[in-house]
Amino acid sequence: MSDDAADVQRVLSGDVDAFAALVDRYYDRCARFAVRMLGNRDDAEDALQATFLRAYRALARYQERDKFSAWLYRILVNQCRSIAARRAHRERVFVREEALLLNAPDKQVAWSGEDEEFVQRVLNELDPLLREAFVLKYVEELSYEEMSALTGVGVSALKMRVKRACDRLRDRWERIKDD
Amino acid sequence: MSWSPLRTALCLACLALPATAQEPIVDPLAKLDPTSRFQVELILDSARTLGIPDRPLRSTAMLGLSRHANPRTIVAVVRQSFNNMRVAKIALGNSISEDEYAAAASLLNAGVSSATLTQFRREKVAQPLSGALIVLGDLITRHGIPRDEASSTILKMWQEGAGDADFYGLWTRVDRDILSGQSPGIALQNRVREFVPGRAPDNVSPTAPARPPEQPETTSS
Amino acid sequence: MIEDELDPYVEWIAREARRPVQVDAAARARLMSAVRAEPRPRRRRLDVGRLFEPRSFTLSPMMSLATAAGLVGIGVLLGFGTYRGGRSLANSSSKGVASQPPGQQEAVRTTDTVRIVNFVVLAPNASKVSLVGDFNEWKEGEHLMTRAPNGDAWSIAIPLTPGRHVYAFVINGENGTQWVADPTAPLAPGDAFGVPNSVVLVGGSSS
Repeated sequence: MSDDAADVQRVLSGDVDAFAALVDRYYDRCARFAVRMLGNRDDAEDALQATFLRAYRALARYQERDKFSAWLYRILVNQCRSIAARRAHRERVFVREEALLLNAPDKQVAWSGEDEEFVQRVLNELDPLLREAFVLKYVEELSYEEMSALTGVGVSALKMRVKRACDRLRDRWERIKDD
Repeated sequence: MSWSPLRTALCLACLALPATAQEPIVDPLAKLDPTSRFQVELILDSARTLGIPDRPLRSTAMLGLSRHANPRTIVAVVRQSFNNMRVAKIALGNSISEDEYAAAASLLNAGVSSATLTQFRREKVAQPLSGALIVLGDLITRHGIPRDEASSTILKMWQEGAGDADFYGLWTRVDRDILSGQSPGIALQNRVREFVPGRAPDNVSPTAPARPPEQPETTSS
Repeated sequence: MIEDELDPYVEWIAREARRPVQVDAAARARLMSAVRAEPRPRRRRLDVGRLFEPRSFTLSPMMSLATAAGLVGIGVLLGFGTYRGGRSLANSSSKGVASQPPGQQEAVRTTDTVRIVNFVVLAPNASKVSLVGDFNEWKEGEHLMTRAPNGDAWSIAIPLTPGRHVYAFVINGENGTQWVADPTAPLAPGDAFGVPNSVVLVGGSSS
């Protein structure tokens, strides 16, 4: 029995803390996916919260024959899609950023992970479906089969989306260079 | 009025720039390694997206290349400048010019707070700002006048309607007084008192230098 | 389908995107509090099978735009292409401002009049002096200064567009090469790359 399956059993037997072990194991990786997909940490945290809570509630339905990570990711992918469709990003992000800059202490505002910010911006410009395919393939490094099981989209369609995402990114670079 | 170095312009002339022969254009940023170049180009692109002028940032990168700086340092400095310009945009509003962006970003580098900068937000549409910011930067950086003191003094003069020429005159006189041995803070306060809102600035002749050129302090490269 | 090798730029994006992200540490604590507040999950007698079938997912064009525009940073308010078009969406309430939005500034500079500005520096022991600045990409040798007959002063007069310019002198002599600011001009704060630079504000600027 895998660690995941063992922990699931423990939770179902009444040991809530065993769920913390599952969270510890997957939170960071899920966080990365959520941030890459949603483009900001606030929405990502909401997605993570919703994902793990749903997973907790549905734990009884988790089948041991499934890979736990795949099962969890399926929930995560859907949560990210829901939140992306629901939220109005603009005002929230703007208000947060402006407040951050205006309230900065006298020394220079230090942005952690500036590269990450720029890369995120470029990713955000991709159509959400292309972005999702690109992130699953090259950030999460899943196989096309795993991606297909996760998203319910056929392998060839996924390959086409990944290719298109790469083309868009490459075009973006050409335009950046030539400006 | 041209604000040139004190030796000043030989003449003020309107010239059309002659067309230069077409040469193959080589982007100097190509001298950077690919990763650094990606990073710099993305910063420039971010600036353009935000309506922030990218030319001062590109110029900073080229300064770094000219100084043979470590590419990582170049990226870091460009990024810092970009961040400063973002803060300047929030503090001063969207209608500032490229010069004002660059001058404001410089001031932030000198440790002036964004809160102080916000006080220079323009209320009158045609009020110039560059002169005030440039002089403030020099007073703080070169003459070591405490930031708060220099900021409040320059701000007050600016709010009373001082323009670029007024600040030019102020800077010239303060600089001269300091050279004569006066303490910078006192020199500033004395000369600021001479500013009368609404009076035309003194006509400093463009051909006669206010003081003779001097040998600069050298910095080994 | 054979997978192509990734373009170097795309490879770089992917590599950066794979870095771990920093998330608020308190978020995990909040999650566990929420979990503990939930009723305990219990395995059901009957296995209802897989619940989470992937849903089909469609975005309206407007939603695509909204989610694609979920940018980090204040740029979201300005939308796209404000700079390139020479328009500034955020400027709509400030008509008649003397300073132009950056896009138009760009246009003004290329056709604007220029002023001749004279630069002078004393360097009696120099063999060569260059003027470097944002107007010549800081390249030594682009604007070589001329020595005065008495041998101490070096000068050059060049056309500059109105506005703020940053510059310095590069002095070659027996002691090697030295990068110096103009002692008779305001200093540009923040000596990036370890050298000081001077500021000149050429008249007729847009501000």
